[in-house]
Amino acid sequence: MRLRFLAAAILLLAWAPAGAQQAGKLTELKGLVNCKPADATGFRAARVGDTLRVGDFLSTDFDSEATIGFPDGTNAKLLEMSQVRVNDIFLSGDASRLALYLRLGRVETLSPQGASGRTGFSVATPTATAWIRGTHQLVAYADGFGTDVQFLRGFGFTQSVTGRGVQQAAGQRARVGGDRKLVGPNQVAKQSTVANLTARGRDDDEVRSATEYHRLSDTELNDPLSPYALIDLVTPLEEPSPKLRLQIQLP
Amino acid sequence: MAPAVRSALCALVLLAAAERSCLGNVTARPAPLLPGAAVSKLERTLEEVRTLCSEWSTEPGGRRRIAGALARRLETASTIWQAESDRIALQQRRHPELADRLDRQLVRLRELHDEISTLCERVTAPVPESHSGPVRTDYVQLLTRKRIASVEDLIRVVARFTGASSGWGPPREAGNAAFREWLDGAGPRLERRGVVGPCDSFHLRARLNRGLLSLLFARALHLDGGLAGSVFGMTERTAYHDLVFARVVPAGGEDYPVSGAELLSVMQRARLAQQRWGRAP
Repeated sequence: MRLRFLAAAILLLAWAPAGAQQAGKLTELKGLVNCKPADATGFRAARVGDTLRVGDFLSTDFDSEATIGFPDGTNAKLLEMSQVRVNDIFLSGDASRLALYLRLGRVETLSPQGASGRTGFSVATPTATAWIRGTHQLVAYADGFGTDVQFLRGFGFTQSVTGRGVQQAAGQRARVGGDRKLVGPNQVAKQSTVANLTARGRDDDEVRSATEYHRLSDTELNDPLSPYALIDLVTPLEEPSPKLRLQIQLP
Repeated sequence: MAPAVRSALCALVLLAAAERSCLGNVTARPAPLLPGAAVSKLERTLEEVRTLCSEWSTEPGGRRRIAGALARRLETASTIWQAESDRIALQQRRHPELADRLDRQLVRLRELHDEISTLCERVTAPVPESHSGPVRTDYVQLLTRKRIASVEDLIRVVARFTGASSGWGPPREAGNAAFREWLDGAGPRLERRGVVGPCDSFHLRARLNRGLLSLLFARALHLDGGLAGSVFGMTERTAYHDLVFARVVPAGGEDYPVSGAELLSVMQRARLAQQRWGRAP
């Protein structure tokens, strides 16, 4: 049985289309960007037009950015202080596969509708993998915080390394923390809900204090000391998109 | 016995005694010269080579001069090593009782010579042709691989974050002197930005914890620490709690050691917080 699988795998590999593209190119650079080819031991300065192949490593410095362009029109923008490795590239007319490994930092991917539709485009981090289907997404990984996947357009799927996954629509955000627990869009929305209840004309510090330091989800319900007297905060988990129902009694 | 014969016999005895004493002088073994002078000479050469190697990374303009100086040192070391090893081999044959001691000297000489030639070759080795550009030491990469960052790393990162330095500082191979020189320039700028105070003292080689990390980043972000901070001044504890709440530093305890990757992550999140709050460091 194992031999059959092995033979089938070898046949599939041998049958791969000859015209398949297996490289991306650096199309835009800003600041200091270093790359390390898979067969090299050291880093060197990257230049526009450099080819990136499977196993190549790219690293951006402070206040630097790099954009990798792929033949099917997909762009991956590596933001500052980020490190990414190309895990897999296989782009042809009838099948596409593109996988990036984000070690640290943020990567913004923009793939046109229809691109990579047959097999997939994914960004993996130490705690999660985000699968993209013709979308615009932002994946961030920070040590101690975990992975943050935000779909700006289209839709996709985020899966933690423990195997739990969640479907995401445009505008939704999912997190996989350092403890590898998946937090779905509803929970993330609830955790990050802020309300700016400051009166008009207040200075920046007061506004920031209201939005950053008075997160509603951190406020005790019916807290007698809270000036806003939060009565109820409900996130209906059964609904696909996060809609919050707030009841606030203003002083 | 005739007196003439007796005197002749005495003369013969005296001659024999004199000859024995002369032969003894000729065949007496001289004390062997140990190669201590050669060892100290090679040690001095090694120190000079180390200094030149540190200049190699900080003075890219003068590399031709440094390469020449290194080649001369290597030639001197090779000459000393060759001459001394031959001489020691000769001494070992003449003085078997000193063979062990001479062996130790030989091993030390070989170590010094090998170290000098390794350093010279490593520094002046040409860049492999497979790379289209010069190989560079990426500080961010080095920091990412560190399991526990040091206070020195924090100073470099905060200096970069606040703009007190346009780079990450001199490479580690440049040594402490180069770092101190860089700090002489970046330190006053950090002080002007309020990140370090005039009374602050840091042990640069100490391992970094989240408390100190939070304190410097909170100062860089101009956080006041709330009521407690304005009354008692910002401490590591208040800074840590503030930054955990602002989701810039991960929770887990202020004494928890910080890895290199975590230090970079905190810097990124501080940048995002700074953009959100609209404040320049």
